[in-house]
Amino acid sequence: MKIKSIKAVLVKLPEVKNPTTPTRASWAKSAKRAMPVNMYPEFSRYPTKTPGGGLSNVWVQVIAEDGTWGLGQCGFGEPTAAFVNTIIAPALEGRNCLAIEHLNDLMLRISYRFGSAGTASTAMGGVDLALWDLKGKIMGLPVYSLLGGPVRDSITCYATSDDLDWSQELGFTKFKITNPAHYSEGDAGIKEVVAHVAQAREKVGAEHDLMINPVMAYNVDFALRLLTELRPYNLRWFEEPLVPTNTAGLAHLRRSAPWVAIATGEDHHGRHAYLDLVENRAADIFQPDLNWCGGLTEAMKIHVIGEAAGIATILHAGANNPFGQHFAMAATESPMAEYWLGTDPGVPLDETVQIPGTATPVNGKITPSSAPGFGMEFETSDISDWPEGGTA
Amino acid sequence: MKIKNIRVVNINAPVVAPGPNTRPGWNKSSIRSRPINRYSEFQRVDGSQPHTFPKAWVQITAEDGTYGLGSCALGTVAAPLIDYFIAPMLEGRDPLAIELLNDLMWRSNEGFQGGIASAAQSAVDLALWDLKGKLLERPVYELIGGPSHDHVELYATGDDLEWMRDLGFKRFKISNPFYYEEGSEGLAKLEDHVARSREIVGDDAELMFNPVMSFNADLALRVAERLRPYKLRWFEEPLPAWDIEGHQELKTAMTWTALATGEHHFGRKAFQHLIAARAVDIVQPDIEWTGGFTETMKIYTYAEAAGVETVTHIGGNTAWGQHFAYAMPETTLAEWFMDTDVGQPAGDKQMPGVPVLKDGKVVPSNAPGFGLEIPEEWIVPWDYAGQKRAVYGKP
Repeated sequence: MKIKSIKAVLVKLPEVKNPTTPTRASWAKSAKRAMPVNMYPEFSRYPTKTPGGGLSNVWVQVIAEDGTWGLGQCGFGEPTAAFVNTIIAPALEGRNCLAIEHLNDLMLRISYRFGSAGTASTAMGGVDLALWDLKGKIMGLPVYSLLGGPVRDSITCYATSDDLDWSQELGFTKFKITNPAHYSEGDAGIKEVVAHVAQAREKVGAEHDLMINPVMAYNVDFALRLLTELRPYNLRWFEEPLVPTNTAGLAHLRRSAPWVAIATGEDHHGRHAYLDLVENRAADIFQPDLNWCGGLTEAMKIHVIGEAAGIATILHAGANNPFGQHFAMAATESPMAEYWLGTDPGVPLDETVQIPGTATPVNGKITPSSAPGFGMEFETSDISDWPEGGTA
Repeated sequence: MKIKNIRVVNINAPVVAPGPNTRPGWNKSSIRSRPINRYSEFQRVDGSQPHTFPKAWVQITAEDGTYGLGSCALGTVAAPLIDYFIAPMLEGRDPLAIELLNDLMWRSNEGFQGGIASAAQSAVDLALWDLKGKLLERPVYELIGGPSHDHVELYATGDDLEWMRDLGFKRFKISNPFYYEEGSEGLAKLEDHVARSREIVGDDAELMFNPVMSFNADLALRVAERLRPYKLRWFEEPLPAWDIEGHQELKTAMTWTALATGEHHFGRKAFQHLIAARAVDIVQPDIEWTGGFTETMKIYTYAEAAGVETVTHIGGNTAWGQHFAYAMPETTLAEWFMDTDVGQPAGDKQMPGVPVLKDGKVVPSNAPGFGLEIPEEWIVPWDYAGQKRAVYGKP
């Protein structure tokens, strides 16, 4: 079966009828955070308001000769859509849609000239996910079965949220909180983070997993001094403290603070970045993002590299969409998945689903749909062409 | 769909006579070397080594009666491991969940991983892939995301070079007649063998050399230097699998020839160590020994990220090796092991349904699974009582 067309598209997401009134606004609308760019005070402390933070999702549709289609999702708006439409699509159209390994290799080899991480790997991710959705539909199987799963009955989720009471009410028992400080804030920043963690530890209790995610906001010095202060709070892991290019710094941090696991990966793109982490003994847990790292094929390769090295792969925001859920059902060394809980407290999770057909956690566990492909319930009429010039 | 049963079987294939106008091939005549040949009572001609046991086949039958077949080396000792240990653990489970079934086999094999256990696991894994392909009515290469090539490019392993050349091969790998205790005289004999081979195949053909672990690190480098004028494409498995540091030293020193190894490395971890030490250029897992198709793909994935090519051991002769090489981008070759006599058609020992080479190339079958067409009446129960004790020369 050949590929008839590949294109960036818009997908109409369903609207909730009679939505539940929230009990309050989500932490995500008010929590002050820190990104690398917050070195400079003129930038907002809300990630969606930093440069590029507001770019829309990009969907990719791959249509086979017989009209069967698959959908994949990635991010970062117009630059990604342009990469899909102008560089990837012409190279892949007319080829065997089932030969995903071959298509992945082609995309990677083409992208080296443009920088194989970043925009290119994000565009590859959207195309690759659409190819897997299509393959599942053609073969009449859920993607996790194509990948050699299921390897577990259900996916254990942890909740990423500062609304800890709401996470607890929903039945989660593992929690990750945000980071309020940038390393440029010095000792005052360390104090602020320690107070934030202490308060969270008190709320969730001593026996549950608690993690913190600084999203690249630290440097080695700040991170190590902070980790020394945080030792009594027994964090399950310390996530992405440094920018993804600082492998040596991360390895130093990991050696120097053996009381906490080092997790990283959402901004590491492609297999080679992870091989680098393995060979430098720089991480305990890998966290690729399916939409950014190069797609499902790439994430499975990253999982194999981690598996051989004794490192677990726990996807970034993997439990919020069917793509990550299928990965977690098929990857043996993936003991849990992240549920990003940024919706308002009081609103049932089923109402917050963006992609129809996506399972939501019940008492912190998810069992995805066994419908073909990724089990997304879209109609052809929900899909329209990507607007020229982008969505903004 | 669930697995109904897993059992070890024998494939009772008719023996094909070499026919008129043939003479014994290199595999029955070339003097070779193995680690055991330090002791003179062990034969130097292949096919009579202590580790030579018949292949075992595994048949996995699903609830609806569809079955898949796989095979492994070391059958005599692998068979009980499969029948008594692996089969009861996997029966009743989802046959499509191959990642899970592999993980179960690895985790339960902790006490005896590598070698016999990974061979046993290989046959089970191959039968699972064959079954998955049949259930989904797709060739295995398509399930794993291939094809990435138009055909599989082959090289030929053997010492009957004129015959191999006449068959259309352009890439050749020769055996090693020299054991490391034979000293300078042995080295001269080896150089003569390589020089004559290079003369026969010509300067433009790729020529490889395979000592199958018969050297140590010191001698391997002496050999590599002596053979430097003959421009070998690669130098294969000169050292025992465990000598990572030796491989590392050799690869660092030997800039003029690639270092290939892996047929006696079992499982992903052994390859990770080789790659992390930058001790190898080309990895050569054997699909029937290293843990199966799934494990070989994991090894491939790790090697691919490190920029190391995977060329499976004897992958051209088997359906599994053909499907693998056809599907994987970073695999540009497969090995065709010359197992027939000189003058006998090269495909005479192939299982039915496994395509035969043509002009040094092969294209795998596009029939479901691995495309094997083994007649049902050939599949017979494994003969535990009939397994033979090895016979060795007198010390």
